[in-house]
Amino acid sequence: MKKRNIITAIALGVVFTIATAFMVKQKITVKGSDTLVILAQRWAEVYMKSNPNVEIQVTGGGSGTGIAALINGSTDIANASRQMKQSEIDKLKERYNSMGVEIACAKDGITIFINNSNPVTELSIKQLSGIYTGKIKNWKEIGGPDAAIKLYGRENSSGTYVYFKDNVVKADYAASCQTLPGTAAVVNAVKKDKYGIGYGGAAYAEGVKDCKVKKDDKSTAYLPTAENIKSNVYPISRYLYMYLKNRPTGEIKKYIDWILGPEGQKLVVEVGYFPVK
Amino acid sequence: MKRILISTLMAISLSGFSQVNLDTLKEKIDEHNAKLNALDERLSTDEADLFKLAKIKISGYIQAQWQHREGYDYTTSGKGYQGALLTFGQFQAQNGGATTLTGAFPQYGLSNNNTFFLRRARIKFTYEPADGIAFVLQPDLSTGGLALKDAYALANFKFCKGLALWAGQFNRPNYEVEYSSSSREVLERSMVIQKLYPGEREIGTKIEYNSPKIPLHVQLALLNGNFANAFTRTSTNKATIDAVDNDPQKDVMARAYYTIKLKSISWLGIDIGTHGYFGNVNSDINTGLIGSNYKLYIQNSNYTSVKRFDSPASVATDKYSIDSTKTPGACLKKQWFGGEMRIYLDILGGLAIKGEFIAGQNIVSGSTTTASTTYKIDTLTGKSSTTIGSDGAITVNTVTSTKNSTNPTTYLNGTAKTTISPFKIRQFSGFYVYFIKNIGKKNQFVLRYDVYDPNTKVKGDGVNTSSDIAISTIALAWQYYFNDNIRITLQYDMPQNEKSNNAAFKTSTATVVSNLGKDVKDNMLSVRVQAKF
Repeated sequence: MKKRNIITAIALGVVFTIATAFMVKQKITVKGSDTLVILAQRWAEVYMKSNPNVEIQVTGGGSGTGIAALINGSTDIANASRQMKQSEIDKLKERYNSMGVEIACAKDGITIFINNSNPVTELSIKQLSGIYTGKIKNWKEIGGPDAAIKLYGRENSSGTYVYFKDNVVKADYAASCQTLPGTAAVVNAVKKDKYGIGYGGAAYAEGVKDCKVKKDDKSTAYLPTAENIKSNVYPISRYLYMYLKNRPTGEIKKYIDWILGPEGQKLVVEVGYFPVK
Repeated sequence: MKRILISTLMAISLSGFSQVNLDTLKEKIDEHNAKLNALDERLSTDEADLFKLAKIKISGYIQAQWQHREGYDYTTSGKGYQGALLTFGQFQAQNGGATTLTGAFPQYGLSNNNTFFLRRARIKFTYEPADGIAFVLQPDLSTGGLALKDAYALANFKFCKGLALWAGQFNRPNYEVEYSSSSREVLERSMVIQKLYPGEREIGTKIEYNSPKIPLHVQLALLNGNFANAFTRTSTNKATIDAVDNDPQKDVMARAYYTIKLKSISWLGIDIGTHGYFGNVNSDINTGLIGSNYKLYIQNSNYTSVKRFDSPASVATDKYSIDSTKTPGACLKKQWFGGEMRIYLDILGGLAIKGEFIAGQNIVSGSTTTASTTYKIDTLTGKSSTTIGSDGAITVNTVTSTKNSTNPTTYLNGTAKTTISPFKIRQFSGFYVYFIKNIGKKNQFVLRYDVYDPNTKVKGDGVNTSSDIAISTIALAWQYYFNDNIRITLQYDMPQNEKSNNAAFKTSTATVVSNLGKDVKDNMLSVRVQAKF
């Protein structure tokens, strides 16, 4: 009798172990772009509700941080608001013998935030470059009040920082530019500062004024609306990316397919960005 | 009336009281303000210091290793292990051609075939004072003393994105040279790379261009050209000699590679590139000669060994002939070209095939071996005591006479050294091929086959010196990535030497000589634990 009990207990133990082994949640880690973090969190929340066997951990830190985490193996997915640099691809090759996989998951218009009380409504790329390089120091030079311009921007680990530098500033940022740890912080600073100006992802623009942007003095200025971004008339729009070491498989593939599918892309719009399809 | 008086008195007293309170409050606020300002001031100072510290990045790695090597039967003195590889093969390559191993290389006793050692212990300091500017300093602290690996300044040009200037001591532009020892899939670089770029680093300047639009990478370097080359050393103080530029000509290196990524085949990536070395070795520089005016160099015209003296000409009558196209003090060309290709396939977790082929002309120092035929150069020395080895090495056994300045013996007179190792010109070739397969996220299998032929003009029994023996090596390695910081490598190396009944190699004892008519027993098993931060 005793022997039978022991055998039964062992059998149950084995069955339980096997069962729990299959019940272990699949964990997916996502790290990177602060621009994408609110969207990535939303995706994760909704996906986990319908897929309770999957646990998705989302953290920000900036595109550079996310890509570095992908290279050193501490994240499955790196979110980035810029494309991977050649030096980063080289590092990925060194460690994983892979060129990496790039997935464009959303589109964003870099929005220029100005205080609601500021009468300025539109700026050209050249004017923005002048402002952020420190050549244009006073709002009155660009049709605003006689007050010094206060610059707010992102840290250099941010993809938005890189994108804005490469495509708008096209030189070094002025030393007076105050760097802040996230787009929400930039928006908050501009909200409080009558003479402030900032930039960041369109989804964050709350309590501040979106400034129209034009390619040059002769062009028409546009707001970063869905239509303008879709039709590529808004001059500072970009793709947002997810990077993986290798082609996705298993649960990660399912998750990415869902993000690129109608449900995931619907959330893109809900959060304030623009779908890729 | 009485009521009015009381009210007035109360009002006066109250107003006095509130005035006192307001003053106290103001004082308190001022006091707190002062405290806050002081704190703010201190915070600003601390913040400024922290900001400076954030510009310094520290990284590094330690490689602790255990190695077992096959024994070599000395035949005359029984079983022994030391030396089989010291003057021949992998270890010689690792040590820049030097015949005695120093520093981080494993030191074996005669009766020992396995040992623990510390291969590398590096710490790298990077200071980035501004965007695009960096200063890098990397010492190696492994056993055997402190050595400086990297020390350079790097600046990106503002007018051209992707263009950067390097100055100082840095890796020479070559794929395997620049591939960090902490990331490489096998323990040591291929033999052809170790032979051509001993020590990996060089002093000079370099311009690099990484196109921001297309995946093109171009490097052009101007270098001293003698760094870590054994034949430029005239002293045992390696650190001092390494820093000395012995010739006025600067060597040039160039490399370019392009990454092809096809959108239609997203799982395939190809890097294709080339590199070249264009350098000189001044024939006046000879480690064996003490007299700086002594003119001598070797031109290997029949590929067995040829020497050339500025006088006399009578040596042309023996098997050594004079190359009259060269003048004493002329520069001997050291130049080669390489082609490289790397294929990355995203198949079941990642697969890579990497390869490089390099061929050209190199200048090597003559061996001090004095075997084989002895030639007398009476007219050179005025004595019958100078001998020339089969590989061109000259041994002046006794020098006593002092002759006039046109006679080379003048320069040899009274010197302590009696052995001359003139330069030799060699046509060489070498290649390596890696096959790397990731096994899951934590494991990796690696197979590397590499070949180095230091003298392509002689084969088999035609080779009469160990330094001309070709070596091919199969390396099998398994990597286990314990976590982000720790990696464990198990590797087995199987070197195979070209067989020649006319070539021999010495052990470190310099007395035991073995014939290379068979493959030397020099397989190695290594286990390395690397901690990186």
